[in-house]
Amino acid sequence: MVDSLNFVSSIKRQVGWFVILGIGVLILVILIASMRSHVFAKKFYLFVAPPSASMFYEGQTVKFQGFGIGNIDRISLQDEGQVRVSLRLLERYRPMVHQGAVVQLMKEGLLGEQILILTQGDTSKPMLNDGAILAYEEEASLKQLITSLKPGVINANILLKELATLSLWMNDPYSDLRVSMAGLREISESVQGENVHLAMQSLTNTLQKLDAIVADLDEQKLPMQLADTLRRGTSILKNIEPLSKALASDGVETIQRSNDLLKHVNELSASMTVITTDLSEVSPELTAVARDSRATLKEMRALLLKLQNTWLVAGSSPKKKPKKLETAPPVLNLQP
Amino acid sequence: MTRRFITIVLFVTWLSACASGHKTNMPTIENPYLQHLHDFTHVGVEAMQQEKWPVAIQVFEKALNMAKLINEPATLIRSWYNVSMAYKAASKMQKAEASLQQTLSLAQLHHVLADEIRAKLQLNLIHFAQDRQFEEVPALPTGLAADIYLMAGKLAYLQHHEQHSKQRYALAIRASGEDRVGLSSQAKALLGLAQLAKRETDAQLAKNYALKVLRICHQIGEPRLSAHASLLLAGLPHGLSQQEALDYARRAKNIYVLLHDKYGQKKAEMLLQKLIKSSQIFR
Repeated sequence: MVDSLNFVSSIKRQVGWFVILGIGVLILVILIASMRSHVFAKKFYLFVAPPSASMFYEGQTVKFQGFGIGNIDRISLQDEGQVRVSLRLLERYRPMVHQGAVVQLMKEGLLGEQILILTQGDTSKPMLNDGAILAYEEEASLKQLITSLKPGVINANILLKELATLSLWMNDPYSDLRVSMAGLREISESVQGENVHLAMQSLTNTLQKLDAIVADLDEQKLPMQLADTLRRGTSILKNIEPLSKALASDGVETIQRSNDLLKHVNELSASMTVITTDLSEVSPELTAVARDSRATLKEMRALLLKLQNTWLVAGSSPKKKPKKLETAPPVLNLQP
Repeated sequence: MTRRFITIVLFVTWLSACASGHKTNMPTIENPYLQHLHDFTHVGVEAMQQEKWPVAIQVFEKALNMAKLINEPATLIRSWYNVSMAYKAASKMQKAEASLQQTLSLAQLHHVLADEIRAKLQLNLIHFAQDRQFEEVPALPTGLAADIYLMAGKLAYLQHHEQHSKQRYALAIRASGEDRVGLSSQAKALLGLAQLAKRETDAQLAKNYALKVLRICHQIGEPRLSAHASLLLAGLPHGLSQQEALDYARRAKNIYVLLHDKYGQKKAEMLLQKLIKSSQIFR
């Protein structure tokens, strides 16, 4: 009898321990999960007012320097019809975000979902207060870029004719513009599949140089019209940078669009060739200037082609065809 | 047996790995003079297409200098030929002939058959216009470029070798590509065939060829060829109404006026007067 009672109490004890252990493990799991998901961490709120809420959803990740620091808490429509997106972010990151920070909507990787990117802002300025309203920036779409290139193509003739007047300045081998063009050459040489990133850096450097040239235009005392022309030229080149970034984020569907851009670059290049011949009639020296511009476009085209061929599509460098020297058309008197 | 099989499989795998995995990180080295040569030549060809002869001469001369610096026979020969075409188009016949002689001697020395034939055909075309003795042209092999067959077709036409001319124009059409240059060659060959048909009094065939030329010209923009085709159509003895013939003659004249082609303009005007007279008689 005693033995059977002992047996029952021992079983009860074992079951008790088992249940306690189970509950303990469950609590531990909940604790770990909550710690990892920052359920109990202190939060702060920031707001952003995008033009439309169509690209946002509640719970959408907000990243800062590549780290997830929170998500969208609420999306609401204000009385004035303005969209208000409330971002719930971890308090411990607040000291890192300064005034001047903006929110951008971007695609994560080639096929990834869209996320919000919070920039650091101006580090010389104080950190953001809880409840601050941030500026919203849209990533430049390829369509916009191509649209913005169109006027460039249309204006190519004017651009080149005016470039002719700039020839003396440009023909100086040590001029900033020459150095920048050399920079573009470096880019097209360096684009080899995996080092697209390096090429982008190189491109950014070149654009900075071009920016510097444009900034110095007033000092060069060039006529206003010519200065505008060079600015226009610079803007054409600048369009390549966001395009490359968009290529990185939009993936395969971009290829068709980049083909369109390539077509524009080709058109611009072709018109450059025609202008080159026109310029030669005006002054032999000018041919070199226009040829240089054409060479730059050629390099832009090469850059685009290499981006398409090496990275997204094939992963290998484009096949090089041996270049054949062109033959002049035969001169025949075909008059009947 | 199994061991042997495994060895073969491993060997094949290794071979295929070698074949597919070989990648070179060697940087591409390009001769800058060659790049300039291509650029100058491209601009020269464009200038030729736009009939800007002084520009073509200037640019092809620069290309020739680049070819001399590159010091490679094939490019040098082609550059001499290109510059000769620009001289010929600008009616600088002496310089054109001298350049063609250079092309010919270099092509013979380095056994570049295509350029040798080109030079000989062009020299013969110049000599024909000056009633001089002909160069002996080697038999045309197959697989030559369209421009060579075009020149050969024209020369045969001038020499009244109609069958040869037809064959060569047909070969020119076959050898032409579908790009702008190719279509331009096709249009020239079709115009040549139209002239042959007209000579053989087959007005309908001549009309068909000439209309094809006009279609291509409309596509690629070759105003001079278009004027030639219109003039040919206007001058056909039958196959077109009086009104149509007058219209083509007027269109041809307008183009020649715009192109400052005095000779073409005169021919078109003469034909126009003839057509107007005949229409008045008809009334």
